[in-house]
Amino acid sequence: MKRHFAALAAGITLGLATTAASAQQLTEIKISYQPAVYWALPFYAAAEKGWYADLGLKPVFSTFPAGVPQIAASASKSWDVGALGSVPATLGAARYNLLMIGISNDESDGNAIVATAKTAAGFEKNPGSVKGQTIVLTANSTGDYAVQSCLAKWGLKKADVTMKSMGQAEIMSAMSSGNADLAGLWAPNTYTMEEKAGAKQICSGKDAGAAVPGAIVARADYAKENPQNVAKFLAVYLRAWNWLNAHQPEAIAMMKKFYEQGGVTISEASMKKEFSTRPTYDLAGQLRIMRRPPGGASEVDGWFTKIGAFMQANGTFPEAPAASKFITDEYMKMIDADPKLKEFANRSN
Amino acid sequence: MRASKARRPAWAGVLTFVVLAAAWYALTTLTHTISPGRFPAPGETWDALRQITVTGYADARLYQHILHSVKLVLFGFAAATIVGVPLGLAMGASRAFEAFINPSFLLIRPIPPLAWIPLAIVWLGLGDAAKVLIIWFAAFVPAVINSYSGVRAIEPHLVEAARTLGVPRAMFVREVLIPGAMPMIFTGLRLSLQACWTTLVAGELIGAIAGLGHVLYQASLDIFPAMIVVGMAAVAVTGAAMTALLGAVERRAMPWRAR
Repeated sequence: MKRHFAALAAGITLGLATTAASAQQLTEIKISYQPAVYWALPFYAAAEKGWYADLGLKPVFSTFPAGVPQIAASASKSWDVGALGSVPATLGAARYNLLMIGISNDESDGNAIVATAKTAAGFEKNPGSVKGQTIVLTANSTGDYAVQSCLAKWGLKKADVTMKSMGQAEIMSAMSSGNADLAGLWAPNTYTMEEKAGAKQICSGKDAGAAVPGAIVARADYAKENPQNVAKFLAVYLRAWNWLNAHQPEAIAMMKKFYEQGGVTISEASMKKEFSTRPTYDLAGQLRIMRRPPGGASEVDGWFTKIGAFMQANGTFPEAPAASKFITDEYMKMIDADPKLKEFANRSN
Repeated sequence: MRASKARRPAWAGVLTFVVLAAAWYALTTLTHTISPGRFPAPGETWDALRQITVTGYADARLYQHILHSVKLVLFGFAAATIVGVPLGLAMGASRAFEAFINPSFLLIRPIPPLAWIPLAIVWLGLGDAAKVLIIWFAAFVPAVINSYSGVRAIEPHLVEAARTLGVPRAMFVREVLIPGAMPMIFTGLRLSLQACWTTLVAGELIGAIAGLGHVLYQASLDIFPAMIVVGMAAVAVTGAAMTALLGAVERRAMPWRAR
């Protein structure tokens, strides 16, 4: 009997010790994102698959309803790395020294002007008739950027319309209740309005020739102190996209679950549209778009310079931060230079 | 001697501002104890004030934002006064009327004005009417309660004397009820005016195109602490000016009180 107790005690002690040892091996990394958005799906997929632990990371997730509270929380070091829209990422760079370390996806087609069912055809036929109309949108967001790009495409200025700023949920409520005909929305809210209120996307950032990227970011002080962790985090993110793109039926099922957790229900067709209209970048793609020719600017620099100019014109800051000051491919290059990490990032299984 | 005593409170107020301004400068600019991300330095606040005054911010200049907010506050305040004061007087003067209205009033009273925002949008759209409705809800309650309490606080012997003398109803209201309740009515109006300003920011969340609440909302989206301070200061100064104006009206309406 005594021997049994001793064996049991030894077993428990060993178990606890093993658990403690494995917990010690994992390094905690605080990841921030917004629920039910396409670019956050890789975080969910990687956590489900256990890929963070494969690289010795223990993710601690925090979610935010929008980019602004997300970047504000970075000031108190509530998170280390994350992803968000390009407009708040630029704001975060200007206010809190955030670094842009990668592109989450090209969401140029996912930020758009949406019109109600009864007005869409008229506006599409004659975009000039948008002049004098009221557009409800979330000010200083990627949606706002897409809206203003569409207005420019139609030969209209900001002053030609009345812009009313509100949150995405309020915008959908205003459209559904017949209080607004035109809105600046981003996916998956665009799909929700199309499916539930018969609204129609009449112009996207892509239609207007505006690049609307999603940003992967890190706190500058964290990245400086923990460059390896940042590179590992990126490697996991890249692998998750590879997997999601290569296993679409499973990815769709995962997206459905992930979106529902965030309170969003859209059809399978719309989920497939997310994949088909929003390109993502693998390691080689990231390195290509972020590469700066000697003395020149990268493709990503160009996108963010235009976004900075848009924000400056809105009065957000007197001078936009220079893209070269906050965009860095250093961590993507670290992955590229490390054969093991590179192999991990390029896996699609 | 008497004059210096009278001036002392004003000097104390000025001194408070001087000490606060000096502490602000010392903590932000001189010693950098407080980082600009947490609270703006006086220089940054001045730049933000210049920006909104000269080039504009949140789609309008400062005076346009102030005028728009004052318009909304005045509409909300006027509507609350026009409905709230007579309702409170009637509830105070008539037990039957109070019994009829009070249950509904007690139900509506605890609902926060912000809770009306979704319904206000559905009922009145995204224009100024919805914002005025939100402000009205905030200002209405103190107007009713204080007018009611004002009537109840009238000395019973005054009411009895008027009745004994057979004062007609209209004259009773004009000569006894309103003057007797006037101090409390004005207390209610001051509280209503303050409620208007505190609710303004929430009201202007409903798709505003101008207004001080809109400035504060936009500055929060831009994480622009200096502009937030400018917006708050503008609300404080404009609100204080309107309260002072109401005080002047109060002194004219109740000259016996001013003495």
